[in-house]
Amino acid sequence: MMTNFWYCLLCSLGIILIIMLIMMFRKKSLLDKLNYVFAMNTIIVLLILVVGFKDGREDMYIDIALSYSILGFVTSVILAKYIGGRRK
Amino acid sequence: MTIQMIIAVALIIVGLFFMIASLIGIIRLPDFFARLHAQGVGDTLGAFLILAGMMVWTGANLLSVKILLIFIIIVLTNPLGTNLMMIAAINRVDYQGYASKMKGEESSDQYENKDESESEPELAPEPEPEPAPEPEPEPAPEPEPEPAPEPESEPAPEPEPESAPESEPEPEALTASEKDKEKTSDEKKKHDPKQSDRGKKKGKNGKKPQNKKKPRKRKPSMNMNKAELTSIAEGMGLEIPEGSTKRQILDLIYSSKKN
Repeated sequence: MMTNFWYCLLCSLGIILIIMLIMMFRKKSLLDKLNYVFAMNTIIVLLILVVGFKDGREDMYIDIALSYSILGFVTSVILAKYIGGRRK
Repeated sequence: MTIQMIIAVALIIVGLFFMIASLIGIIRLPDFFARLHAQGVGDTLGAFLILAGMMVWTGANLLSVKILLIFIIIVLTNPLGTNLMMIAAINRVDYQGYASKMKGEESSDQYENKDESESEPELAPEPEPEPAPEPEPEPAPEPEPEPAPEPESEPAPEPEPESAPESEPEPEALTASEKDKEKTSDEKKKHDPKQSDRGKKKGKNGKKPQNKKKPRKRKPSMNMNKAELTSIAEGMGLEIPEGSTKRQILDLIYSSKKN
């Protein structure tokens, strides 16, 4: 019963992720793409957690999600700084 | 099926609702800043609720402490990243067409123009570049930073705001020099350092600049007033016709320097 719930959550988050990926490739502006990447980062962290809960091995997947959230934030900050330049 | 599981499932479903709302907002909203707002607010709240549901699911454990750590990281970094993207967007193009409004052109949102102009190619080349020495006669939307009063001795046929440090009264052709000063102030607006910096950045990224930029570089001699220019031209041995404007004196000087 509860594995079905985690499966549904996994499918819906995956559908959101795929829609965001498609829209990221369809947008023309560079900052829109950056916005989508930053939104996908949060969803991927949640997706890793949900996969862990579905398998019943959340103690392993939580560490991966922790490191992924930090790395995704650092990537987004560096990209935003590179595109926008320094504050005047 | 305990009460703990029911609370966890309810929290996760509400969080999923906010995630879907954020997705719809990030696709459907018209402006870039509105999309940024939808992403920042909706994603943070959705992640907050889903992680709270997972914490309720695991119970008081070491796992819930780790999920709390992920939650703290996401709540700290998501608005921070949104803010950085907003700063990047403001530094990259002019904010809501403000700089083009200052130039007297019609206001155009840069993001919408970018999307449309890359989708349909006939908008991509710039329309006819407006000739540089004739500025638009319509008034600027903001007043000049230092409006100095007219000198008392001269009759002023058209009261124009005039920048203070350059105002030396020229008895013969005051109106011509005033027009020239108006031109120079308009050129100063066009050569705003931010805009040229932006143009440089766009050129570095391989995109063509959106703003209409004048091809001619600004030289320091354009800042002088008419008396100094006249003395310089006489020092170079040039004939200056009577009643010539500052623009004509400048053209004479540049053409003689080329030869």
